[in-house]
Amino acid sequence: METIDSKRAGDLLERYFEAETTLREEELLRDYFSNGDVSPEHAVYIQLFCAFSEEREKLNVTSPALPEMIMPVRNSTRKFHFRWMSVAAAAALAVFAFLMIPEKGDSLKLIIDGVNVRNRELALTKADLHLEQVNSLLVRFRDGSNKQIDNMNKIGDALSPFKSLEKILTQTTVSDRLE
Amino acid sequence: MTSQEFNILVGKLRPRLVHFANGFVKGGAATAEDMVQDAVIKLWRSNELQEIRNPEALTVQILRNVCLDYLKLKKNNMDALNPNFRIYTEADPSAVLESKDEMCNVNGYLAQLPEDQMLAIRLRDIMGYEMDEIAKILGTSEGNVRTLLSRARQKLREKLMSKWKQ
Repeated sequence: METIDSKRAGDLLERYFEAETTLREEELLRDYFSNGDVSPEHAVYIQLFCAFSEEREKLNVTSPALPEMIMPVRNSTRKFHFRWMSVAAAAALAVFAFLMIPEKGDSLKLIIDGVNVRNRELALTKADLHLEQVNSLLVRFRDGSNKQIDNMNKIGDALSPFKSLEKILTQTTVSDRLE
Repeated sequence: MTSQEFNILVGKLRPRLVHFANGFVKGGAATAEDMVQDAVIKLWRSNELQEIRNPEALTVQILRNVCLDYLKLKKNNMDALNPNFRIYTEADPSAVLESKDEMCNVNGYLAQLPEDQMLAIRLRDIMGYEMDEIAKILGTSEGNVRTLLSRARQKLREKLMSKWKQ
C-alpha cells in the first residue's frame, strides 16, 4: 500500500480543498489520516477524513459484493431462449393446423395467379367477369344443342316416307296371307 | 431489462441506496426508504430503463432520482426541513462514544451545508463517484460540481478550524 509523508499530504490537502484531487489521491489522504502518524499541523482534519472512512465502510458493509449482481444479467440469455422456444412452438402449431385442415378458410379466399386478392370490390368484379364468361359458354352450348335437335328433326322428317312405305308393305303382306 | 432482473438488482442495491438517502433525510429510515422506493418507481416508469445494463448504471440512475427529488422537496419546504436538527453534546465522557461523536460532528457540519454542496460531498467523499458521474446525478455540469465541492470543502475546513481553536 502506498503511503504519503506529511509534505505530500500537505500538497494533496491544498488541492483537496480546491476540488482538484483525483479519487486515488483522496484515498491516499484517507489512508494517511487513518494511519495515526499524522503531523500536528494536519491534526485538525483527522476528524473529517476518519468520518468519511467510517461512512464508506458502513456503505460497503450494507452493500453486497458487486460480482454477485452480474448473475441476473447472465440469466437473461437463458430466459431469452425460453421466450423464443414458446414462439417456435406457437409457429409449429400454426403450421400443423394449416396442414391438417387446409380447406378451412379457403372458401373465403380469392386467389388469382397465385395472388391472394384482399380487395372486396375487385374480388366481386373478377368473380362477375368469370361467371359471365361461363354464362356465354353455356349460351353457345345451348345454341349448339338446339341445332342438333333441329337436325334430328330433319332426319326424322326425311325418314317419314320410309314409315309410310313400311305401312304399305305390311298391308300388302297381310292381304297376301288372307288370299 | 426484464421486471424480474430489475427487481433482483434493486433488491440488492436497496440497502446501500437507503443508507445513502438516510445520510441526508431527516425523517428516520422510513423516509429514506420511501425516497428510494419513489426513485425506483420513477425509474421503472421512465424510458431510460431500456439503456441500463449494469448495476452501477442502475445505482446512478436511482441516486439521481433520489437527489433531484430531495432538492425539489427542500426548495418547497425550507422551513419544514430545517437542517439544524441535531445538537451534539461535546462533553461526552465515554471514549468509545467520542469517535462516534466526532463523526456525528462532521455529519452535523454536512447537514448545515446548502443541499447541493452537501450532496456533492456525499457523492464524492462517501460514495466515491467521479466528477462526471456526480454531474450526471445532480443534473449539472462538471465544472459546477467542482465549484460546489470546493466551496463545501472550504466551509467544512472553516468549521473544523474554528472548533479546533476553541
